[in-house]
Amino acid sequence: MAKQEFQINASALKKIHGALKKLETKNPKMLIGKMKPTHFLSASVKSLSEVQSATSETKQIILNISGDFSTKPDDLNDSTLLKDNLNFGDDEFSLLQTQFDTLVKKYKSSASVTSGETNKCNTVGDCAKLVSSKTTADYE
Amino acid sequence: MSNSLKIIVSVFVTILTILFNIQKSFGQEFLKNLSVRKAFESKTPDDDKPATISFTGPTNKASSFLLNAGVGYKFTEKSIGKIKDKNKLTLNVFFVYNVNSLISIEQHNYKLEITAETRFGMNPQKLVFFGNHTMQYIRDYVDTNYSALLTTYWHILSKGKGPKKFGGYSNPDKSFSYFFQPKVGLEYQYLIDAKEKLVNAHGFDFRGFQSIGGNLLYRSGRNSSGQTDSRTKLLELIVSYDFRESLISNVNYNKENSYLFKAGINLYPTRDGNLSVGGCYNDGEDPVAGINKQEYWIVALQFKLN
Repeated sequence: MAKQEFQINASALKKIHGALKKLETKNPKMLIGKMKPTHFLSASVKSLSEVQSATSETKQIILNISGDFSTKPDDLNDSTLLKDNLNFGDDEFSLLQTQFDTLVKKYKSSASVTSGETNKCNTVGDCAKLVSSKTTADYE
Repeated sequence: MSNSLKIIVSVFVTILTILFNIQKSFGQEFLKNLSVRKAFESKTPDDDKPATISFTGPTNKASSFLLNAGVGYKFTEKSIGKIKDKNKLTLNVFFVYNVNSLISIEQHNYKLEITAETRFGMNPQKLVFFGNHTMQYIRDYVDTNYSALLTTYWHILSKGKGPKKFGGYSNPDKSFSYFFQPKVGLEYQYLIDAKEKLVNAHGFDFRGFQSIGGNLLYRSGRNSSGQTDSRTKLLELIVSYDFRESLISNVNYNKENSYLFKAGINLYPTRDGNLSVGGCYNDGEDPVAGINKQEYWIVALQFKLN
């Protein structure tokens, strides 16, 4: 099942949590994967600051590897092409994989990024999506 | 087309067909580890070239071929050493086929290779070392020999704030960018069998390899919002000088040293970088690629599909 990301405010999240709690009480055997629905919800939620932080760190890694000292992470366009605009070659992609792998482990120790996944990234936005998807819990 | 060439081309096409079908069976995971390129001994930006195929068959003249292509599969990749995640080892297997009848002394060989790549360091602001090590079996039709070859090549990547830039372009926000490309290595070639040209048909040649080069790039353009990160390649100059010195040898090559000088220019007329027009002047020889000593120009139009 493909992952979908969306934003939700705190009060709406609290209502959903409450509804799931009631559901759990009525149906104690109900599980999503091996987790109770409320536990699944908690594990799936990331705060906005956490998402923004991961994206900013992803862009900082890309800027470091490209040797760009003047652009700020927030100013780096998602549409920027790694090969055509930043001149990434095999060596740069190798470093990208290692540094993304280190980054996602900071947020989730069991997560990892492979070279096949980084090699598929064409743009800065693809990298941000990859890192974001790795820092979200897997329940497929 | 000679029978042997037909066989080699058939084998190459068959391998590609098999790989395509395996990919269909095993899905995207297989495709992720598959690569098609010109050479695999080293992966500096200058070596990272697309495969080239060309065939001309005039009715009353001999056919001419240009095929520099290889297909490789990456088996494994893991961190090594005491500092986890900083050092990396990758293992690949390749088949490469080269034929070029457009130059004065033909190039015609195929190679089976196992390649291991190592990397030490992970911070390009300081210094990162890349090593490419290969074990090859080469069948060279021009020198009519069979040989085994062990190579190790090392290059560096450094994109610090100072003027010393090595291994890759930096400052993507600037119009001009450059880097130096020094490489060192060792080559051990063992001649299993050779005919005609060599007095001693069996033996080895242990060579030292050094290379110095540089790349200069001019980027063009800004997008409508004025973002500096949208610059793309417009003009690129590439120069390199490879030098090989025979350190220990018991083969009667009658050549202790060899060199290969290359100077090229590439023009990228489109904003997306998918089209390039380039010319490259070559003078010297490359025993690893099976190119005998000669001087020639290559002018090529290259394009890729995203």
